[in-house]
Amino acid sequence: MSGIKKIIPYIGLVLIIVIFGALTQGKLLTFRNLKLIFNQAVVLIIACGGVTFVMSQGSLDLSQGSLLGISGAMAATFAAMNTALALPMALLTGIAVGLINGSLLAFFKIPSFIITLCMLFTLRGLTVIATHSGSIPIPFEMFGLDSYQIKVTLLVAILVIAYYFFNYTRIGKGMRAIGSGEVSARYSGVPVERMKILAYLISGVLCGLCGWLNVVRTGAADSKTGLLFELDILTALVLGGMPLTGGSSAKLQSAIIGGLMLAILSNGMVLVGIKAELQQAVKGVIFLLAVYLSFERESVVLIK
Amino acid sequence: MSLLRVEDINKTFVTTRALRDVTLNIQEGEIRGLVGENGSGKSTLASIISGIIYPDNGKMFKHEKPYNPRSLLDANSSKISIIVQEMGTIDGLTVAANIFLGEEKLFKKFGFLNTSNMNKSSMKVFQRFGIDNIKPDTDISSLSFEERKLVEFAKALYVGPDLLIVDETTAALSQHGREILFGELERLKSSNRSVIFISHDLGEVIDHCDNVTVMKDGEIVDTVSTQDLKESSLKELMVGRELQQTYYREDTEAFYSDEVVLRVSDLTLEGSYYDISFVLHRGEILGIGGLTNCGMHLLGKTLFGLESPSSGTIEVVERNKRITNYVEAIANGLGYLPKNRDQEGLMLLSSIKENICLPSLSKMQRNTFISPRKERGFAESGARQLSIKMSSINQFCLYLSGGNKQKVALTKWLVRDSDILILDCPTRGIDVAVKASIYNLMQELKDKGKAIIMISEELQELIGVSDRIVVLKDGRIKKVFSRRKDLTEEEIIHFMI
Repeated sequence: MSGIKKIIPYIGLVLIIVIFGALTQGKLLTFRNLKLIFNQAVVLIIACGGVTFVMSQGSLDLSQGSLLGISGAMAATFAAMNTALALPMALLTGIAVGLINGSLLAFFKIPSFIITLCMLFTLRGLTVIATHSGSIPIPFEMFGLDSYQIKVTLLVAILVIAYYFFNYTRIGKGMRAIGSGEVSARYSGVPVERMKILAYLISGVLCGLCGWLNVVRTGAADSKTGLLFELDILTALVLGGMPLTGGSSAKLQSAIIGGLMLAILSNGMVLVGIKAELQQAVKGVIFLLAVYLSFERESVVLIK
Repeated sequence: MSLLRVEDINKTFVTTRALRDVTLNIQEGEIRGLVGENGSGKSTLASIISGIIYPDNGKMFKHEKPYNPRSLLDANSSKISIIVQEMGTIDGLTVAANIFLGEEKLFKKFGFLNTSNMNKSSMKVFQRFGIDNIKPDTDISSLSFEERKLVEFAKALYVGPDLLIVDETTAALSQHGREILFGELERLKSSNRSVIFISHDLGEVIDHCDNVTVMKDGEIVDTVSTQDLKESSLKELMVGRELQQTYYREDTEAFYSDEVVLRVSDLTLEGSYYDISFVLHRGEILGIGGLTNCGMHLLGKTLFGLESPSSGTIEVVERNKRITNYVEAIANGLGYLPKNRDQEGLMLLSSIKENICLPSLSKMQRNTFISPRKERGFAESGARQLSIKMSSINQFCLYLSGGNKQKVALTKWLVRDSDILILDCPTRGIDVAVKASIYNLMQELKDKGKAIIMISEELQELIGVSDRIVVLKDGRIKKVFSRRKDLTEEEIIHFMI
């Protein structure tokens, strides 16, 4: 990838801040609004961080939206018995879904796009059942968990750990090698099946955590929680410079930059007063544009 | 009268010159044999004549009129058809749809395809050949390899060709299939049509052809009449006089330690190779030779744990460890250079550094941490050792030359310090200079006490660098040669074909 292509996401981030800063006459950058943006960005960035491991292998994870919903529903349901059960149940849900996604990909060789899309539908159905088509409130004493200290600590800790594993260990290097060329990676000793399962496991457990964070923030698990979240993640990562083919140019920074960009974009559109229906359309167009700009056509022909 | 004249055809694939000034003249009513070793250019020539690929330059004439096919269908409309060496049918289509591929308009009715007419026409074609067990409306993928070849044959004949090219087809056919094929070839000949018959079975070529053209290294060596032609003299023509190559080993006797490092016992992979047993010694270069499809390439993959054999064992003797998968193989000191460099040997869209370091990551890590400095060190020392031409170790492999790519693929195992290297066609498609440096490297590794298995389709190379040569035919070991001064290609070929 050429030098200019690498900094495009950063330029994009600055552009979005400048444009929406101007359109809202500076309202975007008030302390109150920044806190709002942060709240939206935390969940997005953590989930993007997990999906980064999946996408670096050249696979997709579209199950995230419904996983956010079902893990939130699990957290809320079990919180009614004991609030301490909420987080473990959300994480376990993520782990289970990640294991299923990864195993289906690794052992049955079904394209990841199909697997996770089916998972998206299945989990949404389960979410609707679990929430009885409505919402499950969480016990009042859990509201205190929605604190900036907890969220900042979690975010920083996760990003540091993820950065370490992605850049300085066999896990990240092996996964990117799979994205660069699965056969060659295998022939060089990368345990391909194990890596694929691990990637979805990471993606699943982090999404489970997001499900808990989300429930704690909103105070309830809803049947519609996480709707279209998977597309927000995908858009954010592509905006952040993540190649759809994965491989050696995949970077964890894409999760942070992209997550921030999308959070600011969503927030800015609300501030400017764009209708909710139109916001989705704008996101769609931006996604297409980002893919168009970042797509390495020559590499697609070579890999797939 | 001349049916097809080919003049000064040249064809270069990215790095290799496949055809060099090839000139050929086929008479009407002639069955012409075309023989030569693997990679001598037979199939390339056949593909050019049948419009599948284009020559770089040169001319072709059919019935003395310029003939420049741009596609297979183009060639078909000029009454030239081919049965290709590989699978030439399309899965998922019916037998009839395969036969009339590209000719569907014959059965068009109000814009729809009249399949029942198409099936009936197919039946007629089959009946003519005495094939009665193939139904036109079955999916082609449910047929056996031989049946598919017969379908291809029917398809090629349906064109009503003036010239039919048969590329390595008989190996797939049973006696009955062969009889059908040769019967039809004779019929073509008697109606003043011509055939180009490509085969490794020299006896068959001599029996059924009028003349034989011998190719070697992309050039035509000679064309001789098959009358009173002996198989042995044809083999000599194929191998040719050879210039003494200086880059091979200079010693003329096998030399290696008695210590066995790898023991392969009764290894069988159904449908590929059977009962393979041999040992590999410290400091030995063991050559494995045979025709492309003799099973040796899959054998190489199996030794590295990439294929699960149906039975038999592979044992790393020193560690008393059986190899059952590739992760174990690497951990126990094996390294593998695949034949297909671009798809299997390298990650083209990764840097030289990433490629070189990948197998060694487990060695580099300290409590999961892999230091970037250590990675750089590994990559740089490896790249220097083989003098890879590059701007930096961060350069993508995509833009390297074939020879340099091969060096990167080899360096991976050098920096890992693998004890047993399995090299599948290590000098395939690379120039003489890099070839020489790879042979030198193999010698150096041998001197250091590493053991090498070299799978190769080039006899010269096998003779030139191996301590012992295992010859495979149809998946079985036919003969093991020891290095000696007067070992000739003819001797080895005898056991290959």
